[in-house]
Amino acid sequence: MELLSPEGLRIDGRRANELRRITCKPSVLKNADGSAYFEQGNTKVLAAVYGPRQPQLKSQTAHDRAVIRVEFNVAPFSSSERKKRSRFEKYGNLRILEIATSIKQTFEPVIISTVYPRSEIAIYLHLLQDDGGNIQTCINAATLALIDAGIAMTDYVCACSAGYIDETPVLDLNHIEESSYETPDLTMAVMPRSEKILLLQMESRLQIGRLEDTLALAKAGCGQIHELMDKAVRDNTLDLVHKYTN
Amino acid sequence: MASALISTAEQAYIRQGVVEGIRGDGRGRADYRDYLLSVNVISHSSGSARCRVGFGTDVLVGVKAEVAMIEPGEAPNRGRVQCHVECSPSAARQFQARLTDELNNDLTQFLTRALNDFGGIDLDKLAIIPNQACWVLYIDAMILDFDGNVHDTLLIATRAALANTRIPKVEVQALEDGQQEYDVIDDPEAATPVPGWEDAPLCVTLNWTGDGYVADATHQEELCTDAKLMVCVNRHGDICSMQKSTLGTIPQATFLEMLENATKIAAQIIPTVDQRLKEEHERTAQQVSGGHKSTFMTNTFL
Amino acid sequence: MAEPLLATRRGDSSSAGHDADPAKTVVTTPGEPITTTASFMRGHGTFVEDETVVSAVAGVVERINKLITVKALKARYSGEIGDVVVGRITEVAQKRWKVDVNSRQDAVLMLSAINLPGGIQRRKSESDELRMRTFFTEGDLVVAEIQSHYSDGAIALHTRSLKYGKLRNGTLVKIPPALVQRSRSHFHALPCGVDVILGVNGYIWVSKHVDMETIEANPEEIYSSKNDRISPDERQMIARVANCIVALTRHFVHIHETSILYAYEASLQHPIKDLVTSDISSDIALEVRDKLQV
Repeated sequence: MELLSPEGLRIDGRRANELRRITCKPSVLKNADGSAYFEQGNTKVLAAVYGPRQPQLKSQTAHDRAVIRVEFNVAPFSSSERKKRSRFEKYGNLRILEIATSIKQTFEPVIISTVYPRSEIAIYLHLLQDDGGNIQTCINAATLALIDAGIAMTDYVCACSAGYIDETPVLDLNHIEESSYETPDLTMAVMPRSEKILLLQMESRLQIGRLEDTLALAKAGCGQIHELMDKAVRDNTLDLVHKYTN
Repeated sequence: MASALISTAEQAYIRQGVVEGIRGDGRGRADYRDYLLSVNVISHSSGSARCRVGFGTDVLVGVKAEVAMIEPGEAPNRGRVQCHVECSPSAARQFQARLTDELNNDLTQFLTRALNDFGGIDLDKLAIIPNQACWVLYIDAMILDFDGNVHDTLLIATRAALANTRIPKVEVQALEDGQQEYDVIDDPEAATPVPGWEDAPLCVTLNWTGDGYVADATHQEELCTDAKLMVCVNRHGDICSMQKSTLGTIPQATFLEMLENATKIAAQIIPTVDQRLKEEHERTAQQVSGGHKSTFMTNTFL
Repeated sequence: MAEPLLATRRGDSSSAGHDADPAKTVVTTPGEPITTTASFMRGHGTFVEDETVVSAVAGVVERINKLITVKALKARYSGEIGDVVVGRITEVAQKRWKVDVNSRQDAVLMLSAINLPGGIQRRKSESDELRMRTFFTEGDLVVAEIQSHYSDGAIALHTRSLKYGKLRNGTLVKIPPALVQRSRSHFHALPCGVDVILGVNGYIWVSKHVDMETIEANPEEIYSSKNDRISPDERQMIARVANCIVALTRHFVHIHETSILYAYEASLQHPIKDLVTSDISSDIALEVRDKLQV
C-alpha cells in the first residue's frame, strides 16, 4: 500500500505536516471531578479524573503530596476487528499497564501534587476507538480532564506523534501508517510553555540523521494541539463564568 | 470501605417516600427519569448507542458483526450473540478494580440471557453456511457513569445499538465439489438490519424497599432496596427472562403484582424508546447527508 | 514572556469576583503568567516561577490587596475557618469521626468538638468514647462548622451549637462548591415550609421545617436518627425545592436563598418531576437569571 501519494497526500488525504481533525470537550461526565472527551481523527478517548480525594488505602498515602494513579482501559469495540478484541491483547495486560505507567510518569512532574498532601488523584482513560496515536490522545484527554477538575498544574501537557514515510517526515500518524513495518514513529509529550519534554517513546528504527526533523515536527504538532486545547479550556471557562456572573 | 454510605434518616425518608408514592425527585413509583439516547457513536462498530439516564447512569454499547467458523458441537445452522459488559472503575467508587469483576460477570450473564434464545434476534437468519460459517454479534457494553438502574439503561442502549447495526451482505456460492463458499460484500448500501431486533426486550427493574417498590431507582434508592426484580419484556408483552437479586426477600403475592406491573411499565416505555430511536436515526441521517460526521459527543448535555 | 495580565488593573480595588463586570473578568489557563512577584503575592491556584506569578488552573483571577488567586470553577472544596459545611461520616475512629466534606481528604470531627446530649456542659468521659456510634455512625449526615486546619491541611470540624449536628427529615443534593457563596447565613427557612442548609462545600440539605424552639425544647433528640412525621404535602415541597436546586445547578446558576425562591416560584406551573428535564430546567434557569438581574 502506498502511504504517500506522488502528490504528497497521505492515505487519509492529509498533507505530511497536517494533524488529524481534533474535537475535544471538557466536562462530559457527572460523577467525576473532571472529565474530557478527546477525538483525534478516528481515535476517541474519554478521560475521567477523581480527586484530589481521600485515598482508598492508607498504604497508598504520601504525607507530603498527592499520589497519582492512572488506569488505562481499552474498550472491546475500539478496534476494527472485535474477534481479536484489540491489538493490545497480543501483548496482554502488560502493554496496558506500561501505557498507564508512562502516562503517570508524564503527568507527575506537571501536577503540583505538594499542595494536596495525603490525597489521591486518579486518572481513568478509556480508549473508545483506536485508530493510532492512542497514547498521545490519552495524554491530551487527561490534560483536559485534569484542568476540568481544577487540579493545579505548572503547564498543559500536549502530546503528538511524528514519523517518516519514505523520505518525508509526517505528523500525527494514524493506525495504518503506524502499523506499516517501514514507518518509524515516535510519540512526544511536552510542556508547551517551557518546551520541556515529558515523554518520548519510539519503538521502531529511525536513522539518527532524521531524528532532529522528526522531533521538530512532533514539537510543532504539540504546539498546534496546545492552541486547540487552550481555546477549548478558555471557551469552557468563559462560558461558565458568564453563567456564573449571570 | 468501598460501598457507598447512606444515613438511617435518609433511608427512612426514602422508604416512606416509596410508600407514599412521592420520591425524592418528585417522581411517582413507576416513573422513569428523563433519558438521552444517541446512536452511531462509534464508527468502528457495526452499530452503537449511548444512553444516559437522568444525567447519571451512562451506558455505551458497541455491536460488531463478524463472521466466525462453526465448531463441531455448536448449533450447525445458527448465528451467535456474544455479550460482554464492563463497569468502568471511573463510574463510581464502588466500581473499583476487583470489586467489579463480580458485577461485570453478573451484568454480562444478564445481558446474555436477555438476548439469547427468547431475546428476539433471529439467530437462524445469522447462519451463512451450515456447519461452516455464521455471523457472530459481539455486543460490548461499558458503564461509564453511575446513578442507579444499570440494567434498564443497559437494555435501552443495547436495543438502540442493535437497531443501529447493519450486517454486511454475504453471497454464498456452491462450488462444484458440493462445498460452498461465501463472500462478504463490502457495500454499506447492501448491508441489512439485525433480523428480529424489534423483538429484543427491554428490562424493567423494580426495587422492593420492604413496603413498596419503585422503577428506575436512583443510586440512593438502590441503597435502600431490599430486593430487586429484573423483568425483561418484549414489545409483545412477553416476559423473556426474569431475575431476583440482592439479599432481601419479596412476599409471593407482591411478587406477582410486581411482575404484572413490570409488564405494564414495559408496554409504556418500549414505544417511547422506539420513537426516540426513530427521531435519533432521522437526526443522524440528516447529519450524515449534511456532511457532519457523528461523534461520541452528539447529544451530550453540558 | 507574555505581558502581565494585571498590569492595567493596578489601583483597581475591586476583585474580579462573581459580582464584577464579566467583561473585566480575567480568565487564565495553566501555565499562563499573571504578574510579577515584585508587587504581588501568590495565592491558591497559582505558583511562582522566575519572579512571576503563574496560573496553575483554568479559572478566574481574583485579587485581594496584594494576594493573587485563581479560582477554578469546578474544583473540590477547600475549606476556610468558619465555613458551614454539610458532611457524611465515613469512619468512626479513636475519639474522632472522619467526615467526607467533598474536600481533598476527609475532615475530622473530634469527640471533644461535639455537644453531648442533654445540652449540659461536662467533661467527655470514657463511656462517651464507647458510645460514639450513638452520636454519629457511618453514613450519618452532619452540619458543622470548620474550626481549624491541621498542619497537613486537613479540616477540623465542630458541632458545638444547637444549629449544628445530625441531619434528618430530608434529602441531600450535591452541587459544585463554586455555586455556593459564603454568606451571613447558610440556614434558610423558606416560606413554603422547607428548610435549606447551604453547605459551602456544595452539599445542600433540604428538609422539613423545624423551628429552633422545638430543638431547644428537646435537646435529647439532637442525635436521633428517626424522622419526624412528614406529610405528603411537606414531602412534595421538599422534592420541589430539591429539584429546583438541581435545575439551577444544571445551568450553573448560583444557589442562594433568593435564587431558590425565584426558581420555586417559576417551578409552580410544572409538575415536580419534570423540573429536572433539560427543557424545563433551562426555562427555570433563564427566568431566575432575568429576575436576579433586575
